[in-house]
Amino acid sequence: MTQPLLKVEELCAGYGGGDIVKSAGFTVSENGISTIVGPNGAGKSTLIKALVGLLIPRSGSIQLAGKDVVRMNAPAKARVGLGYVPQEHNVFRNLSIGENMMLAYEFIARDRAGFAAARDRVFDIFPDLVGRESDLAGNLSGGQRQMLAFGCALMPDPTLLLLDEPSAGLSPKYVEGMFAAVKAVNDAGVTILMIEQNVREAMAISETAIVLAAGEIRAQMPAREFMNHPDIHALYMGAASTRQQGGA
Amino acid sequence: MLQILLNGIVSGLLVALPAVALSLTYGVLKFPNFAIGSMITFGAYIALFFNVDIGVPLFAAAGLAAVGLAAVALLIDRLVYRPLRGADHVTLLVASIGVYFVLENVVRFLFGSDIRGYDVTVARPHRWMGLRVNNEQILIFVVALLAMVIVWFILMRTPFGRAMRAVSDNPDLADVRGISRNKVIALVWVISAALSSTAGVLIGMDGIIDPLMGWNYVLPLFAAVILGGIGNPLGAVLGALIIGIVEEMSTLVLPTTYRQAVSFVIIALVLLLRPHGLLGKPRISR
Ligand SMILES: Nc1ncnc2c1ncn2[C@@H]1O[C@H](COP(=O)(O)OP(=O)(O)O)[C@@H](O)[C@H]1O
Ligand SMILES: [Mg+2]
Repeated sequence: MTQPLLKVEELCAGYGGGDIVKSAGFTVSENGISTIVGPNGAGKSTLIKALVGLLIPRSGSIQLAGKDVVRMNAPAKARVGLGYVPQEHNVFRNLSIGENMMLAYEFIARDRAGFAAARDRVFDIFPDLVGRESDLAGNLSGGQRQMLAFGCALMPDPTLLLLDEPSAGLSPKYVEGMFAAVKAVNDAGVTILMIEQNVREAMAISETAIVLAAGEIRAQMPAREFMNHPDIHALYMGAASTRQQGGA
Repeated sequence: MLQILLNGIVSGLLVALPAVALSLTYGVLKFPNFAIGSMITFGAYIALFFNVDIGVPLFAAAGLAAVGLAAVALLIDRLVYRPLRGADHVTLLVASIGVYFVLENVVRFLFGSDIRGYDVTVARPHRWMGLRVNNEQILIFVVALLAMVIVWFILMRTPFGRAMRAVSDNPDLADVRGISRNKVIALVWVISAALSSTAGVLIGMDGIIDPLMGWNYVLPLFAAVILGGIGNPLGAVLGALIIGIVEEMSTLVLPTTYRQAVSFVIIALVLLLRPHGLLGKPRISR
């Protein structure tokens, strides 16, 4: 068996009060798409923030390609190939699209010559951004902003990309495109760990499902098995549909 | 009238330099640096030391003052602000008020409290189309514009300038982009110190040097920054020019002792009518 790209063990993290993420453990194998699901407030975003270093974990270990990175801060983690698209506030609103893309590249990749090629790769995936480099990112629509945020995370060519609800708040037209983009990026060789509430669509492109509830990892299993699992299916999909009704 | 406009623009430019500094530090560090007043004073005195006590020409002394004040600012950041990083902005504001008084008293201790001046020859003012313009005014005009163009260039056209704007816009995202926040903060202090000490030297050339010279600028500075929209350097320049011109015009109808009141009135009006300033944006979530 090959070693996983990401291995998380007994990870505890929180914001000041008690632990939000409680002794979480799971693995992400190379090349696939893994999806974390769980109810609102379960601690999914907190877990990802702890993984990228925006929140320094209180205990536990995070191994990226066999290397312990648990004490690294966010800039250092970005430089060892960890990409991240936050759920909200994921672009620099007062900067132009071009500047957002430049910034996503220059402090991580440091090889100035590769910038144009990286930008063109992103433009291939998100043609909506082409020709709009001088527009302010804050003026983009929700869907376009999500594309820019995703595109920026791709600029330095990460080895592992963490996506926090890439399809949240998007109109149906954009949701489909977003999952297609996730799949395309993964096909191009980037391992992906994402959080998603659109469970069906997410599982359709994922290999692995990770279930998080009340800060604890409840299960990790193949995505297909997850979709057919009677218990989890009733529990989780039931919760999801109630929430959708409540939010409408 | 044209004379008043000219004088107003020149005194506005003197306010503009530290106002830009104030707005840059606010953007990145998220607190209004009250100590900017004593940074102006300290810069003027470092230049005075090199110019008068050592005998270095004033322009070189001004350069040394910028470097010296940058070192002082970095030291203060290390000792005072860094341990408070992440504290709420009232705590940091209070800390910077403390720093103000410490720096002012360091100046009094090192250089005394007497009124002093630089070693420069004073030339007669030029007359030009009915306007009276002195050399100091021309110098202020040229140096202030040059300084602002340099800062604009750093902000808009260099990676570190972009990084600075990124940190003021969204610090967490800047972290994720591999930007070292401590380096950006250091750069902000260096630029802020260079602008403040340059302002200090220009103010000292135009008027007098005493330990309260920066104090007199605190109110107009905050008025300029609030008027322009806090955290917006371009707004700070605009606000400073308006303050300078309005203050100058107020002397037509009010005794000059009320000059400072102009800043007060402007602060009050802006906070009542347009709290986010002329160029600032209202706070929005998401
Ligand atoms: N910045 C924060 N400071 C304090 N508590 C937070 C913060 N962000 C989230 N929380 C709390 O942590 C818990 C988990 O939130 P989050 O990780 O965002 O959940 P999820 O992404 O699964 O919906 C919630 O109870 C939330 O209130
Ligand atoms: Mg979340």
